[in-house]
Amino acid sequence: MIFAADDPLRDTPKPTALFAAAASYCEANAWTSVNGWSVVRLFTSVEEEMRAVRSGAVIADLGAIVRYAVRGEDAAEMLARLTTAPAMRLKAGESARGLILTDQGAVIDLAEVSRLSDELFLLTTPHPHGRRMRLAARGFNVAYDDISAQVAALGIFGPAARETAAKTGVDLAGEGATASGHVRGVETAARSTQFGAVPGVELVFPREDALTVWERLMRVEGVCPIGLDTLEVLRIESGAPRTGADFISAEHKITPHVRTPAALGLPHLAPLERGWFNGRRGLRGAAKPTRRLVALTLDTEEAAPGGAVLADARPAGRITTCAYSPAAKRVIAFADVAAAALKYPLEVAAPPPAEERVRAALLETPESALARDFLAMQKKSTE
Amino acid sequence: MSTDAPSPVSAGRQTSAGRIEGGIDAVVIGAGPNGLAAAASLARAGARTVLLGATADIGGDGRRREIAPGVVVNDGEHLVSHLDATLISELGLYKHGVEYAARRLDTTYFFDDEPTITLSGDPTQGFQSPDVAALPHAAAFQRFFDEMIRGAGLLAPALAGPRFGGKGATLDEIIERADDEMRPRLMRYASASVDAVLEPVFDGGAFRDLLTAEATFRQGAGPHEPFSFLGLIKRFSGESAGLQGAVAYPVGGPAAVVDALRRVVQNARVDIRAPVKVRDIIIEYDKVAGVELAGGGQIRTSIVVYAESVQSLLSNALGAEDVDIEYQRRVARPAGAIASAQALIKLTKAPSAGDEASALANRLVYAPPAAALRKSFNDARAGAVPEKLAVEAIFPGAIERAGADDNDDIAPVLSAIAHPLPFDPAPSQETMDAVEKAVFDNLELIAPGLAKHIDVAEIRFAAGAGGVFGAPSPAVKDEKDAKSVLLTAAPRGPAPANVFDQWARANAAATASDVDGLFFCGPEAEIGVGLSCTAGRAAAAAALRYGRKKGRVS
Repeated sequence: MIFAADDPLRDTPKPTALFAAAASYCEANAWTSVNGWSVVRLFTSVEEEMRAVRSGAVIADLGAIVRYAVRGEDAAEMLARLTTAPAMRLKAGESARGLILTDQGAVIDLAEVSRLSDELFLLTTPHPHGRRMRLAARGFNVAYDDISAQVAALGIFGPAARETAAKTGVDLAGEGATASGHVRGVETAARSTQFGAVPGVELVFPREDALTVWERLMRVEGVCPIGLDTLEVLRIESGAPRTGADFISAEHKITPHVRTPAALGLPHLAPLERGWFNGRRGLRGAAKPTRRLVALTLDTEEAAPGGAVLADARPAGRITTCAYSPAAKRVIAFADVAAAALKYPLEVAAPPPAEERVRAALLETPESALARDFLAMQKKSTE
Repeated sequence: MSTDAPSPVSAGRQTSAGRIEGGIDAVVIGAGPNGLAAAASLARAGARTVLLGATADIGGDGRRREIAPGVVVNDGEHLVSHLDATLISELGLYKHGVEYAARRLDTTYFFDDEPTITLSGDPTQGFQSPDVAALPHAAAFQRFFDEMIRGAGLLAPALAGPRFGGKGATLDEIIERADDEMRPRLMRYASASVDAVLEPVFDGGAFRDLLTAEATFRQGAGPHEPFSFLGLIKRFSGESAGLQGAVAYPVGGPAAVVDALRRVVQNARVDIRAPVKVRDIIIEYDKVAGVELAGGGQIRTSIVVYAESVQSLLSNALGAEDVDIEYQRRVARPAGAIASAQALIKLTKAPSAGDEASALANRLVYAPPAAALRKSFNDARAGAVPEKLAVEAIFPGAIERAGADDNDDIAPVLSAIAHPLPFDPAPSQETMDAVEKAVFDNLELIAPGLAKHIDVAEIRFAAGAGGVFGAPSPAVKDEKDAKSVLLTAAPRGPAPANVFDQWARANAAATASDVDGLFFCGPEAEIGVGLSCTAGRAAAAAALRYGRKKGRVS
């Protein structure tokens, strides 16, 4: 799951359920605020944390991410309306990703829907959407609660993520699966996730048991915590854009550009064949995007958001988020670029004082591979 | 006034359970004035059209009412305003019985301490009396009025009805296109309060009072609230555009227009079916595919024109699972707090106005002082019945007999609407007593001594100022004076916030959530008050464009 952009202007963020545990391990003492919650940016260093991700299993506090429990006989219909995730087709124990769109087909946010039982769903989103939930629920027999403050959430990432979860008592069948189990006697809902090439498990459990579960996981050999900066590297590697940083939510309407799923490189998350969802009619008539959000690798070890992207030596866009990837040994970034400019070789202006231009190349991510396959399949079916 | 009962409409054939009907170009759901206008327009253009009415009363519920034995009056709207000129000519309404007793009604304004002022229904005519021209502020009023009429003429196209399929200009487009002199003025007209616009022109007086009363009459916004001035622009937009039915009275009242529409529908061979309940509008691949009836049958069609309320569209016919969240948000509004009352009064004798006999055939308006009206809106919003109400009254019989030599045959009937009152769907006896007193007290300022000549009076309130005045039940008899007054509460919706709000809502509602083949022309698609039928005619035109583009209507 993707964190929302940090909101440093918000004062006195609240501690997450895992705040005390995370603070005791946070050697770097680097914090930020997301959705009004205190979140660790770095426990040690990105290099060290990334090494741990590649080698075994790490844990991260996901308490700043928003969660809604949606109950009722129309819960699936309501979520199929609110999000592009195929909520109606999910069986109990299955999860799916999707988007929240406006009626014009502009992206408001990312979303993940998990069916926990016939009439109980968990909706996870980077930003809170209380007002939209209220609007979307009109006319449906559903009840929903924002349970973000009542639960603790923790992600296990790395090649050994599922084994680590299994060792603590939660066994997951495979990708997209949801399960419930007990960690040291604490009732826990678990969901399998994929952070790019890195497999993961998300655990959600009662807030009061947060420290118990954290300690249980930390006792598994090789497990260490990671912060938001490391998750940011994983996020860009996976090709998942960050709401509020890589694109402005359509709900804020401060940009004249309509960011459709195609413009964000996520057309596979809103297929028109999926059945009706809010924004489908708008998407059907939407023009081809004039701007695209693309993942890039930059031939440099330093870059900054806002940096100019040049195509054929002319300004074509800007970097939205970037991070140094220890694996690639260079900066990887998301950039908002004019669609027409993508046929030219790209460059990025390095930040001062160097101010030189460095080569940029499109980065193949798991998300962009899914988008490419989806578009190819669509083209084939049209033909 | 005409008391002829409309010719009965055949209930038509029914679609039986399990039967699927084809070969139908368009289905119109809702048999109110807009539904009739849409069905008639579609059928006359060659579309095989089915009209489904929820009740057997085609044309809308209770447009005439017998308030005393043999005394039948128009219920709800007592004047037509902004009656769609295109509809009249396209459907040939004059040939089907619409005849104006007065095409452009002159209005006589009454005040607390000032002499009456009569304004011509034709804005180019100016004051009718030289005495009025000598009143303080008369010259300033004439200048302001001419400017305002010019502005109203420019904004009129956007305020006539909602846009269907992007046809026509929006308010902001009209303002943007205006010349440098008019642009800031139009912007002010569209967004400012009545007080903000009038304050620099008038420091008080009768002219300001009459403009304030006209701007806020049957609106939810008081003169001190933003966007309220647009109410005045809408009020005069018909006159400014030279519309003959801007504020007019047809022979037989507004119900005669509905009767004529019904005749057109019958002559155009529209397949009328009533009473029929619609269970669902069938959507397939984001397009209208037909209508499912409560009885189980289906009518397959690619065009549905929906002329009932948006609430019924969302909760019954379409369902939230097919409607965009934004559409729901744009058309659903929190209930307002202001409403109007209607008084239908049979007098003990025909009205007589002595030397001012001609004024009886005018639209009569009591305009309270602007400051008092502002207080009335504040009181009504707080749930109290205000002391001062703006009142619009007509003597239908006098209008129909205007120009006749004597008053002997004038029907002794007065119809009046009073505003603003608190919206209270379940009023207490105390509230109803207060409403009765306020309505009669203010009516006295138009017709002194009226109370002595009341035979039967019916006052209804808590009704929507944006539409008709609601059903006449449950009736509550005033035991104190059983002879004269029957008070009923009519639990319909309150007034819309203001004309700007109505404009935005109408344009949003008309999109029908972008479902291909669905066109909405229910009450929420109307801008302003009164019978105009613009939404029904425009929805039918859009449906025909759609049908022809898709090759489904020849």
